[in-house]
Amino acid sequence: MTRNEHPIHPALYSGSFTDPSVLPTRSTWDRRQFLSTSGIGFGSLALATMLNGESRANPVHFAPRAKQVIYLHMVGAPSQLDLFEPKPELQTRHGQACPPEVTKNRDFAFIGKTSTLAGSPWKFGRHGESGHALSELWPHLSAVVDELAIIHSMHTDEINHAPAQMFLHSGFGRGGRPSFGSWLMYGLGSENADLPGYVVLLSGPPGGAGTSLWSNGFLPSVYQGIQFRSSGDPVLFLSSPAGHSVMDRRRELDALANLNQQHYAAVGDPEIETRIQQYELSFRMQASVPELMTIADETQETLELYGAEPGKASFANNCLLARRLVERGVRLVELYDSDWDHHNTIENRLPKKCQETDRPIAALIRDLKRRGLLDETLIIWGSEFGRTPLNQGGTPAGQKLSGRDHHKDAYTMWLAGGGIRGGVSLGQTDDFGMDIVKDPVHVHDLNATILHQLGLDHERLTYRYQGREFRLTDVHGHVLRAVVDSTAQSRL
Amino acid sequence: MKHVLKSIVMSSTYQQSSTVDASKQQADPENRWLARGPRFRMDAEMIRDNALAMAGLLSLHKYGPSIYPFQPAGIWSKIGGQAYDYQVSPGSEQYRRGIYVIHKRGSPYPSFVNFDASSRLACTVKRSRTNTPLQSLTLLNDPVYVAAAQALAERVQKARADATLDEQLGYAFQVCTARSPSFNELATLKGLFADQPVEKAWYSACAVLLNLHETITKD
Repeated sequence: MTRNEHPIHPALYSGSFTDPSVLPTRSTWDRRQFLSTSGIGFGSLALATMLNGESRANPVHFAPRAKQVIYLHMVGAPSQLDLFEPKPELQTRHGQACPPEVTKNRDFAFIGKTSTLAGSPWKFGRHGESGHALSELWPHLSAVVDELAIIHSMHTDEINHAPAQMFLHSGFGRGGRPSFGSWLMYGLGSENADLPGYVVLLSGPPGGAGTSLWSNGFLPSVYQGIQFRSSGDPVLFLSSPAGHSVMDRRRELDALANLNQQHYAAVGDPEIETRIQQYELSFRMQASVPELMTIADETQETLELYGAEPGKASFANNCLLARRLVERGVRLVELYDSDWDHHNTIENRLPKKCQETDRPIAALIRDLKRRGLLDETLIIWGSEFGRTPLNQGGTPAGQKLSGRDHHKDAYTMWLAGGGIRGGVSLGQTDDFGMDIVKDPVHVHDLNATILHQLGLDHERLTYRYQGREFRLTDVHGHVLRAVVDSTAQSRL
Repeated sequence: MKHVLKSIVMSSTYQQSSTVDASKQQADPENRWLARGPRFRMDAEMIRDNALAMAGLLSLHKYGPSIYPFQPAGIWSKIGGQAYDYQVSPGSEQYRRGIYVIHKRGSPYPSFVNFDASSRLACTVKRSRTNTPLQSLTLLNDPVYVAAAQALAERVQKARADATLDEQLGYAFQVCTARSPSFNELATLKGLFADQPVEKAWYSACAVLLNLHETITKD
């Protein structure tokens, strides 16, 4: 494994900028040599390192409040106005033209500015001690609402799905930058020797930006997210060829290790030792990954809690898998759930999506909590942007809500667990939900906060590429102190 | 450019042995002083081309449109709003060199990505050279390498039809590493023939040879 430049090497600030390839590099050989010659061999630390990238010498900037992240990415942009943002004014003015000053200097993806205002057809209620307002489409989430820190004032720079997804994940509206997950892996490494540290689970396609959403960008490829697939091999090429038994494979690997060992003795390249260990690790993955993906060993009660069904590909199954993954020390699990892009027929499609996700999300929170994992697991729910207070295709006036267009200027996300103050609300939008009137939260602020909860300073987690330092948050971002529980236990 | 490359590879510095002892390793782990020859894992495309060439499958047919090697179902099924139909190139077409492999940035060929090929979303001056279990799984189980192991087994048995097993294995070893096996190395390979049918043993031996660190390393 080749390690690139040390991200914060003092030489970078000496004023003499040179080609990055000749900058001082941090040697990985000394440590490897130590491991191979000291008699302790390769422990789990070294294995985790080899699988997921070398951990930094100084792994965190300050005490982390969370050890792992479950990111629930709702592909397509759920309507905050029908889920988390009750707007009586919109109900009252439903079907009326939008005052021109509200749409002034504002762009929409598809609709014109003459579209009419649209109130939500769903009822809202206040729940829990926090009194968070939730739509009736969230019956299960309502019951665990006090765990949520709801941000009503998210905004982003991009108005279409693929760029906005890229922006949310990498702080940049086009491809080429590492996702926040790759930054986390780069900063922290993994805790599990037998599994990748950054796992992606899909229910439906991941959206226009495709696999670039979990791309390592310019970071070494060892930090990329690994998709665990719900059909076929969960990890690509995990199964041995047809007719090949575990015994056959073991026999081959023994011969392979033997030959590699002989070659190592002759030429002394420590990379060969690493290679031998990687083959052993792949052998263990052939057993551990299928075991992990088999949810049939969960109790009936747990399966029912999530609404999970063994053998089926669903968001519910993925939520349960997410718990199994973080239980095993996987650093980041991201779930993509598709079809939240409700330009039309929202009346049928939004309830369907909520029905598929409400129960599993609530179950995930409950299940993590009862296992003592919620405190150390940061859960994030949200999307690339929100939806307009304006009806799409809803003219003539008075017609019921048909759908809503993309809205980047104000939308909702929530955080839970992982050192987050449950029950708090952050930010406020105007009476129409068109604009933010209090405490705006930019995507960069959210990403800065995610890194912060894991013990990383978004301003110091940098990587040198094309002649300069890069950050997840570019030159922006403020940690959202209002949602961070400063008294949370350190997870060092 | 050709002149520069030629000067480098013809130099005695470049042509040194890459064998390293503990003290040299200690003194200069990254070979900055060039006291030994270079040794590094091949790039993604080279590993595939190399395996196909050893197996006798590689097609050196030049030019023309991109090729579609085998990849697991579902990788291209839907990217963004569009569904794509991925049809594996027929016959020897799929065994043309790696530079002809179709590239879709949103969903690059996984076998290459596992060996640090870029998804070409960002400009890469220098690819990283990682060493991961996903690489092991790819070389052991990706159908292109399974086919290469089978073809190598057939090639060796055909090319050395009347030779002894020792000679056949020695030839296979030579094909993969450009040197003869030592007595012990040969013994290890022969061990694979001890307790399984010959056909299966041949597959195992060739798979092992294609997976050797030495086989995928330029040294």
